[in-house]
Amino acid sequence: MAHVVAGVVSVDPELLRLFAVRAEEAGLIETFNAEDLVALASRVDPVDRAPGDRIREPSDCSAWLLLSGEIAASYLPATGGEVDLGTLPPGTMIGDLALLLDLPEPIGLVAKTHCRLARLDRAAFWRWTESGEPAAAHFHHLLARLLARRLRFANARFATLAADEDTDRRSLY
Amino acid sequence: MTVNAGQVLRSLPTFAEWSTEAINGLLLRARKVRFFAGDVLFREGEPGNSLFVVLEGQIAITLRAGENTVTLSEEGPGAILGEMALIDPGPRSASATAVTSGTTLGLSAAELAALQSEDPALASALLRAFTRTLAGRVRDADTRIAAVSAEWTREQSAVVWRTLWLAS
Repeated sequence: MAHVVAGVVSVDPELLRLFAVRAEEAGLIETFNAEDLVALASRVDPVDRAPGDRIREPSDCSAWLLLSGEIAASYLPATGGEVDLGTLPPGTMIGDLALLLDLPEPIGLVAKTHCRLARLDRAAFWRWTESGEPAAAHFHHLLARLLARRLRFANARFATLAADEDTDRRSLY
Repeated sequence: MTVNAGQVLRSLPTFAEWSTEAINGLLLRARKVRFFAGDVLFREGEPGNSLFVVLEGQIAITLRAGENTVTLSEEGPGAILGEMALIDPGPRSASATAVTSGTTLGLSAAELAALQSEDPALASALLRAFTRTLAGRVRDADTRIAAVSAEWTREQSAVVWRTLWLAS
């Protein structure tokens, strides 16, 4: 997404605008300032996918932010089968766990419409992280916060299930 | 028994890539806390204002489930506990109770905040360790939920997996 001219990082303004909107929807820039946003946007690559295309290879460990279009998502349990996760709208982030743990995720993703995504490569992410830039630390903090919220959700659901052994009375939502 | 905190930290995967300087920096700021079987390090629902790195001993992480208590995991040396409430301020989402005697390093929210201005590189390394720990726990939650999800409806499953795996 970035061009370097005379040492100055320049990001396509239209892509930056769209990236900023979608990153905000994904909860990625709660405490970001404008410089942090440019630093993040300059490290992602725009990727286009046609309807029916697979978004990523099964072994991919990048993080992706859906800028425009729609994706059909499914959960692929290790035990086999497939759970339809519905349609992902613009502003969905995918792959943060794979990025952090270097482990592919059991999530199938296929473009339903033409999709434009911002891809954050794993190696680029860790190089940025190790650079000591404040923006990288801010981004890490936001990722950690998102993970903490997901964990709270998972723990609450698990407790609800464990408390009620009568499946007819289980009300998760 | 006196545990050599520096030696233990260097032997743990979480801190394996840390420099001696970074480990010493952490030891300088953290408090060594002894615990005994049955001690509660923190309790679900209470405000969280500190995190712990386990140096020795075993600690059970439990959740209240109605009138019962469910054990989520048993954590040993190298585990980072209690960081969630510092990263995303809110009540503790689980309890931590000592199963055996042991030692932790404790760091309060105020100490962590001071670290961010005094030694940003060390604070950043600690944050990376927290993030990886949290990501690992989300993956563990996936396994735990998979074991009990057989009787869910497809809609229930979709909501849980979607929230667990997708950030929004």
